[in-house]
Amino acid sequence: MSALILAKDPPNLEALALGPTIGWLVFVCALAFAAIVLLDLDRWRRFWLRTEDPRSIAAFRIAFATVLLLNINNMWPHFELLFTDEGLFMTDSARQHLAGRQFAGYGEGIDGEPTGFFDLAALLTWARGPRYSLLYFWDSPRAFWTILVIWEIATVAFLLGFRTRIAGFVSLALTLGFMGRNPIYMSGADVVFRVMFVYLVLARSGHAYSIDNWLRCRRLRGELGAAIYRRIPAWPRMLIILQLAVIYFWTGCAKNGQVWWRGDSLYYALSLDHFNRVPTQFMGYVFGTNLFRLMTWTVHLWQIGFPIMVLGLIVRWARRERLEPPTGARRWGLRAAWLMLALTSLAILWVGLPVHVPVDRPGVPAVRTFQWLSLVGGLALIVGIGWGWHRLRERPFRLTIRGHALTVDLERFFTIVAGRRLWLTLGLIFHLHIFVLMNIGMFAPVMIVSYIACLNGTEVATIVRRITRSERLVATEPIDAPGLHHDGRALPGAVLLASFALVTAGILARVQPQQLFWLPIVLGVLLPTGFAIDQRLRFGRPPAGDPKVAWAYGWLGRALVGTFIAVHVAALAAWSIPDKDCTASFRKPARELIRDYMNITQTYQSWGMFAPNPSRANVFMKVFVTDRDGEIWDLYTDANSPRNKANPWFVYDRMGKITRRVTDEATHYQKWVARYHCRKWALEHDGELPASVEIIKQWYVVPPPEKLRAHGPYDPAEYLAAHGRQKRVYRAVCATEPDAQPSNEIRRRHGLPAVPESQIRRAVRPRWQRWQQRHQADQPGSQK
Amino acid sequence: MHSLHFIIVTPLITRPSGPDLWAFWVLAGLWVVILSFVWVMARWLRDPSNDEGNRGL
Repeated sequence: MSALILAKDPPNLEALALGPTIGWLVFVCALAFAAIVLLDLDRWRRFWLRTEDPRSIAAFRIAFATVLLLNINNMWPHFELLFTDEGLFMTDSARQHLAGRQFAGYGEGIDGEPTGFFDLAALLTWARGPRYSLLYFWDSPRAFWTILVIWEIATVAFLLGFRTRIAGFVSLALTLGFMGRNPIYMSGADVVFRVMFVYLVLARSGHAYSIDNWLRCRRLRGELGAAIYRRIPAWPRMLIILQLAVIYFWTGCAKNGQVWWRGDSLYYALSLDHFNRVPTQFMGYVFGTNLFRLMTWTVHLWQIGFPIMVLGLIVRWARRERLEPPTGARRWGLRAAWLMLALTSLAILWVGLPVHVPVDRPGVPAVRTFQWLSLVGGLALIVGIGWGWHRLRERPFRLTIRGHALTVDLERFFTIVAGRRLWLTLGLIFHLHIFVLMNIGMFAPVMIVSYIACLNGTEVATIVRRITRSERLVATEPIDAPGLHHDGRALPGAVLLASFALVTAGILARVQPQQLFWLPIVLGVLLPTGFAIDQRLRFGRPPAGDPKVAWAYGWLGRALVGTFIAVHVAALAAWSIPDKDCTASFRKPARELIRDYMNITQTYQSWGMFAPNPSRANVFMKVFVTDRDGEIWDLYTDANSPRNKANPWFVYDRMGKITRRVTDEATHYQKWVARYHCRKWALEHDGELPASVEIIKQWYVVPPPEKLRAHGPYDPAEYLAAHGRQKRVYRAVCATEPDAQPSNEIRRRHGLPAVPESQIRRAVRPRWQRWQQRHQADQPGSQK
Repeated sequence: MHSLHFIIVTPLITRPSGPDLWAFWVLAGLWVVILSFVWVMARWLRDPSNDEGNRGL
């Protein structure tokens, strides 16, 4: 499947026609994967629901909170622009234009409509998300600064581990509030912050390296048997590792453009003036056609291959725990399920290839040749994996290298090929290059910080011991400690099979389509917990089990959390279906099914950074204000253009991201930027509106590396002057443009006299009538 | 706007100057730091005193 994702965009109609076939094949893959889980239930259960040393997630908590503080506070020059009613959007305009669907049932009091949520249905509509923010209700500068101060206190408390759980939730809620109030500033880094923060607050990250734990140890001083570091559930950290793999795999597969295939992405990325910290034209001149290409291909392959590291972690963990695979018929069933997964993936490749390779082009082999090569190669890989696995486990290779005997077994193979020392070191090298040479905010730091979650607690403790040069490595709570859960009850496989069958029936019903498709899905999700409650009520507490197995929760907790993990992993997989023509027929319905879940849990995501190609043009945004006297003022908003940029450029300015969004990805913001400048000018000039505000887009195309190699490095300012182009993308006449005049409330705040309401034009529209019509249309028996 | 005529250079790499020169040193310094880190990590992970049982997930 990833090979198809890597290929060029297919012809439209043929690919669309393949959608149902590929959709059913993906469905079979999902069934095969479910069979793998059900047949190997014990090991999956142990993997997700075990306990572990808390020091890894605690270290991650501290580092994450640190970079989060830097990420949000770095925006301080733009706080008012982004988050207050004196910024880009006034409060009611923000509700209507940034979260219009959520506030579809919210009245602004216009034309006599009620103010506030119209009814319960309106409130539930808002609750479906995804933009939850107090700043949609209270966003005067004073309200914002109050919220910010609370956020700073909560985040610092979370960093220090004081009242960790509550501080984490408050910090997360307010961080989501900033992100939801004005997503114009958001980059890939902010999406990383959002999803990782959700997993982090679900973990017991305050059980180590925290004020909470220090106070607890002081309280328990001298108490026999009290452990300094109590064991915690491992699953949040496992979700963080899984999420890390999703990010890299998704973004690696999305980078399927020509620039990535040619290897020029690093060259273009470094040549972008709105990114580079230091002049990179000379580096591009020397390395653009050689080393940078090698580095680009390496990074691309590394991103796509990153899940191999996660696979290696899991395999090595299972072997270290001596968790034996199932035996007898189960074992053969498991092998058959893996084989089915592999063969169905090959089938997807076979079916999808014809619409992914260029046809009838000279020098390009025929489609059939591609198909047979892929099939033979895929089958050889399957046989190789099967043979290799068996050989490495039963009869390891014994080699002699320079007189040293070396045994290559399954453990050593995965250590070398899938080890963190290879994959995370490559990641560190990649992110350090980005961080040192480019100014793109906190993406590199937050990703490097996330690598901490790939270390276990003992490894983190070892690193801390080396840094602090202390003697003792404090052990974590023993696994057989009496306070942990050692019960021997497990959800029967039959219950889980029934649960899965119900969910599958629901999905098939959705395909039909049937109205009540959601019913078997909901029943299937609730069945394990329902069964657990029934067992608890009927048979009381479960009997004691193996003392060497410490579960993260008791019987009921495991059913609940296990259900959540299964739902989340399935939802994440469905959300990650690539956006291609050959997946269009099933991608949209699958996403619709889980959209509410992803929105409410705030784990919706997209990782198309520098994909399918990096930008190959430098883009800047200028704002010109023409005042009442006809004089034109340049506001110098092009923060990262050669004329404004500091050299070297240390401090990240979010205006660069805002500029790119306004001039390129989301041009609907242009009018809001113009309107904002109208209002701001008026507030700074005794209430006098300017005549007009113009948004000018300026750009120049980065010369390709071959041209740079031929002609030598250039000076960006001179090149912009010589080859730059510019055009006006928006003009606002401030007297008549909606939302371009400060409201009387805002004028009062700045000590300005009020103006007649007729001089103030608003962009908000009433919603009451449309809400009523929508509700009447939704009533049973109503005519549509 | 005036066109900028590129100065034709020989295939040999010219010595950088000004901001290009210290940018070049930044890149060289980055590679030195990375290689040093890799060397430190390799030494640490090769240390036989490390308990293999504590490594990984």
